[in-house]
Amino acid sequence: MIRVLSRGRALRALGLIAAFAATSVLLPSDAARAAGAVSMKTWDGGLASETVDSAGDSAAASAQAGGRSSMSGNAALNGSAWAHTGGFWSIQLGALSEVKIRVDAANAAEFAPGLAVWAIGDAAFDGGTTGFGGELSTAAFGTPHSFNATGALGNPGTLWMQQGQGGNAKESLGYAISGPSYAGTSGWGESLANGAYDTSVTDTYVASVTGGVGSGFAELSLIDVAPGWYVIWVGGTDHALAGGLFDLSVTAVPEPGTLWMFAVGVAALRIGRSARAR
Amino acid sequence: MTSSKGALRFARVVAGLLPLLVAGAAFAHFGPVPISLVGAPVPETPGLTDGPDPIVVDEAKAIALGKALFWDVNVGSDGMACASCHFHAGADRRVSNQIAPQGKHPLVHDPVFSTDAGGAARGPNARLEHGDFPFFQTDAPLNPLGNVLTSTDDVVASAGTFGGEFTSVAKHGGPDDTCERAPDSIFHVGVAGTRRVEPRNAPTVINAIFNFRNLWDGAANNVFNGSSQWGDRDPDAGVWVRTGPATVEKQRLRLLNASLASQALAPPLDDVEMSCGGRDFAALARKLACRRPLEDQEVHPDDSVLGPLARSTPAQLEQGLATNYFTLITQAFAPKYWSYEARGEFGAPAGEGALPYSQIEANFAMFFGLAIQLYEATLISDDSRFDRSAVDVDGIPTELTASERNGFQQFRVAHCGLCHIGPVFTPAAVVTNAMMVEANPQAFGSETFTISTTRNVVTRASVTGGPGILDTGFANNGVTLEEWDRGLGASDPFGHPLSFADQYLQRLAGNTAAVVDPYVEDVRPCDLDIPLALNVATPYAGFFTQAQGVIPQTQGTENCFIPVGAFLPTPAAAAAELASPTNARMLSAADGSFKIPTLRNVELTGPYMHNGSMATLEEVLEFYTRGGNFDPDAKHFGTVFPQVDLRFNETNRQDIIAFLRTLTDDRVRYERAPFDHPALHVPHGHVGNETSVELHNALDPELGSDAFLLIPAVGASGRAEPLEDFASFLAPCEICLDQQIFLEMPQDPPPAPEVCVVPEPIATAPIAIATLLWLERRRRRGGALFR
Repeated sequence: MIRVLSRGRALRALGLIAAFAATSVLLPSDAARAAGAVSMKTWDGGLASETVDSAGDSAAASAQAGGRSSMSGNAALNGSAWAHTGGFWSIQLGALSEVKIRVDAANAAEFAPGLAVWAIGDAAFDGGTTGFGGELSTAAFGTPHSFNATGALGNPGTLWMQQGQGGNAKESLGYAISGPSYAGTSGWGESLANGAYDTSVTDTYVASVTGGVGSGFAELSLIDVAPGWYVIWVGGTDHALAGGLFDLSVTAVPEPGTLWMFAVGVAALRIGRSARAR
Repeated sequence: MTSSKGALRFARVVAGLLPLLVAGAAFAHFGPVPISLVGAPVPETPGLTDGPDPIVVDEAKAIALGKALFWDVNVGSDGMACASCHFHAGADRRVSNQIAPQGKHPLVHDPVFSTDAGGAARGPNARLEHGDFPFFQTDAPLNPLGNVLTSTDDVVASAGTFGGEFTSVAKHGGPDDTCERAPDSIFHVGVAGTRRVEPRNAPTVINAIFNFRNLWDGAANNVFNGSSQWGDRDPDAGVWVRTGPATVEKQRLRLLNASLASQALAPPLDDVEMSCGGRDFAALARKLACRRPLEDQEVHPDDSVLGPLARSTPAQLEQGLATNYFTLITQAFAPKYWSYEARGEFGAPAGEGALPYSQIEANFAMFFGLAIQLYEATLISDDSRFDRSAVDVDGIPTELTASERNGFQQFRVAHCGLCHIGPVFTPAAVVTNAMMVEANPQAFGSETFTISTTRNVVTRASVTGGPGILDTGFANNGVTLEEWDRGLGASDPFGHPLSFADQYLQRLAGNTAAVVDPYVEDVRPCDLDIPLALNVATPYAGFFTQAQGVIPQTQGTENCFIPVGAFLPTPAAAAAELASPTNARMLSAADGSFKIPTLRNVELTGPYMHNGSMATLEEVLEFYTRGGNFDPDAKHFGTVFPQVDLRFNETNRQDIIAFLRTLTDDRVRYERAPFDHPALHVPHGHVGNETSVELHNALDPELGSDAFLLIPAVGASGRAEPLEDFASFLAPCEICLDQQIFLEMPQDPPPAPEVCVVPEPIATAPIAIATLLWLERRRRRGGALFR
């Protein structure tokens, strides 16, 4: 099943989120910005970060451990994300027409993946600040023990990672949840619905986000990507499952025109070879 | 791949590994960094050995008294010493007759034994084997969704006494009390009575001095009252104090940080653990005072504590000490607790014409408890490989193997270190942790995850049923269901909740009479891990706000863990919430919670958990990897949850175990000082098996013959062979017969005791009285004792 929400629908959803915002707590706090609230998972080869900057380039983090409800579905957190049981991956993207970010469960019966992406800008994600601003979710958790992985930055549960607040994340771009939608009042008033959603509010980093979810996979495609740093969050979205392994992949999708030129080039090479052979 | 691309990738790899290489920074984000026990402060007990009027005047003698009492089988009514359940790295590694059917199930009065995983009967005198463990088994031990194959509320614990109704003791002669004994209705094989088994596994006594309270449910009060385990809760508690040449009065005693003394008073009178029912400490004193300590047990001449008092020589091991208990007590304790000469005020044993008790007998509970505590306070194991290793600037051990270092980090990543915190690897070390946090903040948290570490005796915890108030140092990890054993959620014999948490909730609701322990009044709200009340207008499900009514905390707000949490609900708001059927703000997480145990020497202290349901550390790792057995409301879901990485990464699991093994102090492993000890015969099942038991017990013809483990006396230099772990004793019995010695306890009259002067006026009394009067005159004049 593929479900894609347009930016227009996403913005309407954000309006709903704003209506829920009063249910969580933002308190005055003297918490200093510290960064390092979460650390980055490594990519294949032990890389602390990856770079995907040309068409056809890709990066992968294989056989990663996925907690069953790290992104959504844990009733004890009122459905919200739990940073310390999921994973963040830091990546640098070039100016690309489309970047596909996909999570595939090794066993769909064990793990229903979800993911979210944020634009960071000209530096890697700094990990945010624990408890920044004294935010507390409706389930009584501070950030990022519980955090808002699907709302726009600035919404409750995001200050810990937001530029100018506790982190250096510039914009939330989109999220995908392959597990069931969370029906109750969520921890931060955020939407935790099955499907893939564009949550970007500007064209500064991406023109749009598309994607889809299905049994054992969740996928987001960033369209017309601005060069810079991004961070990807992956976690499980079905508390009824056991949790399991997954592969994360990031691929710069070649443009159709590029593919055509590539095919012509290959054909020319083959023709040249056969001519030389004769 | 082009060479330039390859070079770039190599550079990225190096860049990626750099954080791993530089001080383990890749893990530095996650929570507390385990820390050495060397130099960790032991909680002080003011007035015990210090101050102007100490109770103990000769600490070395008190420690000797405590060690003798701890290992002396004469303390029990039928051959059980304290050490009988704490002889192996401070714990119990016996495998025969160790099953308590349905444990401490509060609703079951006629418990039945469960069958083993194969469906075979498993009853009294059964011998545990590898296949019995763990007691909760699924077809996929690492997977939270495995199909349950077997699950039982039986408990692997410690065989104790045959029980019976107490009649009398003898001042001399054999070790057994006179009791009305008969085969137990539960613990018997055929017609033969077998020893009863305690309902919870025996935890190690090593490092227990650091625990704010002891026993799995915290029932050993932090405050020692001198006559029971219940601290301030016991309205009848007190000790007899000589106040003048011919006056004595019962006074309340209130020694803080003396939980081990409180604990020591429970087993010797318990008719499952050590005693016939109805015995008291005065009777025990009557039995012991004139006896030679350890009169039937060999004492090594090089025993680190008892050697100077031993009758043994380097050439010949002998039984007992060259003194008696009376003498040791009078040497160790201040005269005002034992020097009163008259009798009459202190009661008398049952029976016509029995000699009334003396002051020293009436105060024996105090002597016993304090001596045991002072001995156990010497059992600190701070010389493990982990303790010895140098650490880098981040506190990461540098002298462990690569596997052990990875295990150290995975221990943190897997959230183990959030509960097993501080130098003792438990938050139950409330005072020690609070004293260390300022100088060692990394040991209690990091930028990412910090555990509030103060002297607060409660916190607010993340549990399945919603944030709940819970005693510091306790947790429900989902190993059993709450209805199997309520643990901290139960009440004492006076009807008061065992937990500080339930007292605190009542206190918040204005019910001050419900607070029966100190420290509850001192809880500072802004140091709770999760705040309780916020000074905001908006109603909020998880917190009290102005909508219900909040008031500022009474204490100062300096260095608050959560500054915005410096508020309390108004008593009316708290009471209303507590009474509400939708209560979400005044929840208690005490039910089914147990004291978080130390992990030091953990490789030797199996079986594990309060119900002894796991035999190996591998089984423990499986348990935590799958996220526990059950999901009760009070379960700490934030620390016990399915761990997918561990499930698919056997290396990390094994490395965590490798790290845990670095916590073993070789002095414990080889029973070197201070962990050396006298010889001990430990009842270990009965001659026969679970279907047939021999009837040749000298105690009673209807009781099964005891089999014994012979634990030889060890001197300060320890034993030649290391202690083995619990699992190694689960091998089929034909292999392990050499570990099981079948014999009866000696029944021959022991050697005549030394002179005992209990019934007679003591020669030192006039001197003591004069000293007391002189001290009192000095006190009234306000003069210093020494100038």
